[in-house]
Amino acid sequence: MDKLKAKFPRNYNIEKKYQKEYNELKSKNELFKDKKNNDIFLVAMTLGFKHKTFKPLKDSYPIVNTEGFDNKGVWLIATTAIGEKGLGVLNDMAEIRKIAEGYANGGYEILKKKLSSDKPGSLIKRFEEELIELSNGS
Amino acid sequence: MRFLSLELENFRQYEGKQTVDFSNDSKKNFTIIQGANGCGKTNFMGAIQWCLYGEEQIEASKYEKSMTLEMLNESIIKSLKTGDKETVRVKIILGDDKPSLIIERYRVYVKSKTGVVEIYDESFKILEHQSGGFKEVENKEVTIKRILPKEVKGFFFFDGEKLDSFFRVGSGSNIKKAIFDVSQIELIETTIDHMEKVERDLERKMENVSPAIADKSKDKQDMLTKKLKLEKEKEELEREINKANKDLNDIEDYLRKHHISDVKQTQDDRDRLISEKRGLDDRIVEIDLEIKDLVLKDYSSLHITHEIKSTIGKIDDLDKKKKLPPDIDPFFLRELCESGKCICGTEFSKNSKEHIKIEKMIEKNDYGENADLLLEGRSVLRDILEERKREVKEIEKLNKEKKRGEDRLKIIRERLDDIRIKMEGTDEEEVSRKESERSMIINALGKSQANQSICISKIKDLEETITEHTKDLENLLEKSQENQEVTGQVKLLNDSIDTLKKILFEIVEEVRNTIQTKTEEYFFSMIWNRESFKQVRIDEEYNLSVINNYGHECLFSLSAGQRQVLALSFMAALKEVSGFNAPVIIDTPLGRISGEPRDNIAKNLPDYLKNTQVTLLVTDTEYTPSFKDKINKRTGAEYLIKFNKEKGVSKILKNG
Repeated sequence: MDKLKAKFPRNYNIEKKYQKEYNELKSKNELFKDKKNNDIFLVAMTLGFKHKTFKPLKDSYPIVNTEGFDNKGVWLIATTAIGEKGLGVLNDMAEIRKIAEGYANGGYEILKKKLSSDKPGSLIKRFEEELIELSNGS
Repeated sequence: MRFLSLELENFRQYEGKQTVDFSNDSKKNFTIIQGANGCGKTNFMGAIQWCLYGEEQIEASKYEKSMTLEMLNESIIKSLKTGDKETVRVKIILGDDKPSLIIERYRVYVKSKTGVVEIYDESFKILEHQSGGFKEVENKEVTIKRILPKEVKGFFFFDGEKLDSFFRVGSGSNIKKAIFDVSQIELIETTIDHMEKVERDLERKMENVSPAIADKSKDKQDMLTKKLKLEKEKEELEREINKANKDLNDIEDYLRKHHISDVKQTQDDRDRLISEKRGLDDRIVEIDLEIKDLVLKDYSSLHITHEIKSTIGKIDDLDKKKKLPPDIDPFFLRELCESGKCICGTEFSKNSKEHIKIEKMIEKNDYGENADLLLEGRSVLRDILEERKREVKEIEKLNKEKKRGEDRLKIIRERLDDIRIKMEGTDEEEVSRKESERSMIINALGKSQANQSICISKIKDLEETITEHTKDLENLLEKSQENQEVTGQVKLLNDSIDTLKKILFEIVEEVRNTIQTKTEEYFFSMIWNRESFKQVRIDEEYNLSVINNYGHECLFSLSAGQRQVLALSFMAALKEVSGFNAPVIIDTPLGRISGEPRDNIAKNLPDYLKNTQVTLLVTDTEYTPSFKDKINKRTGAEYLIKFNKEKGVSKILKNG
């Protein structure tokens, strides 16, 4: 197990200007409090991929440590890249990283909007409802 | 080092000279001193503390009941004539086998012309055994610190009756204080304070150089002042909360022990409801956390469900086509191309028909190197989808449990309200008054706790901003060429402060973990129904919890006896972690516990603190024949304090 993780680069980057916001999410946000940069990165990446908002990094900052991903997280990153380039991308870790970072960067703005939404109910409840609704539909 | 003997002279109830020889036998490490309430057991412990530290440290309520302001025996005070002098003396002899230290404190009183007894003279000396005999010690403070520092004495000399409330009220701050005291970190804290002061002075020096530095520095100073103010406010709130909790506990104790059975019963009902409420509140918090973790875990995969399924499908296709693993290893094919020679020996050039054919075969079998990877990936991705299905169901199940808990909480709140109304409306004036007082305390407590949370959050925010300001200031200072030397000093100070803070945190964390482990160890060795408990925990907020076999917190549903064992275990852990092997003296070790739990504690108490000299100051109701029988094998010395009611004096007699 963890064969893919062993091939992954040591770190994943985010846009430098978001570093402070990542820290704030981890210290104050209801959903991400006491979680890792990796958790924020994965949610941002999958949201970015879903909404097809790929945004290459301008000023990259390596704060997402691969060690912090479990095998499932690693394969979510790989799946995003496979969705874009096919299975052959598994031979190109640099490409996987570029795709993951680009979507995480694009998806971060979507995530921010979701987190600051003024819809009623607690943040976790809203995410939970979305999870149940979409899971039952899928 | 052990106590070998104690001499008391005219100390409070003890008229004349009285001596106690403590048991110095490691197998019979218990000394029992028995006496009725009010005969002077607590003052016995007070005498030891006065001799060592110059203060008795007796709890106020006990003081009011049994003591006058002066420690000279009252009967002697009455017999003094104007100008007469009399001495109060306490002498402790310590050593391992033979005496090696003699600590003696005395106070001479004189009766003045106005008839008042005043302190005339005082003295404190320590004699240490050296090669030529006993010699007076010059630095007495250091010697006392070596035996047992004042800050940790509370974990060696304590009152069993008070232990229960240690965990019942405001436990977080009590436990935090105990852990900080036992960590002996005051030196590091003082160093940090000093370094911060020096750093501020240095920054002030730099202000003349650039307006930007002056502005930043001023901002930082303002924030530090604000933080200090908030910290004081937080400490004040902490004191208020502790006091409110103590008052609340006293009122509830009064109601629990009320002579009218209906009042007692109603309070018992309330205790049960509160305990259930706490359990439910905790469970709901736990459920919320579980749901949060599950939501976060599954939320990411949710948005790429289609890609996950599609990737699984692609891998399935390859598998069906027997390409995982491939018929021919692409690595082998690449080698053929590079060598330009077939396995049959036929040579071929780069663009030859054979070469192109092999290249095509490589392309076809390109998944070969990743075959294992793909098979692993398929299994992980299938798990992600399967787990998500299960976990969504789990979230729904947890929500149902939460709803049931909230419904039950609603009922409990209503019943607690009914109890309050009933108690406030009772004909018993004192009960009604206490109940109203209780309601007011609870309201005030709620406000104080909310304010405390706000305060903590503001301090945290300020700390973050101060860190940022410090970095900005460092950058500005670095750019300013004129102040290279001071800049270096500020940077060094900052780094050192950071390092010291990290060390401080690590020490406290290690102590917290060790105390948690030791408390659990003692608790499990003394508790009679060991199989009902799984774990004793002290969390990062210093809240102590006991986890039962079902994985639920049960601190508040422990019986009084079980709580006493927990408290004794916690004290033993603190004592051990403090690193001092001083004797332990426990006043009323069984507290207010009666019946079967008392017997259970008595049965297990001999196993408590096996390698420590222990003195138990027990009441006659505590020291029952059954307790005596159980502890007999470990008792090396036994004394009885006899109180003469008419004279108001006590004598210590050797028993047995």
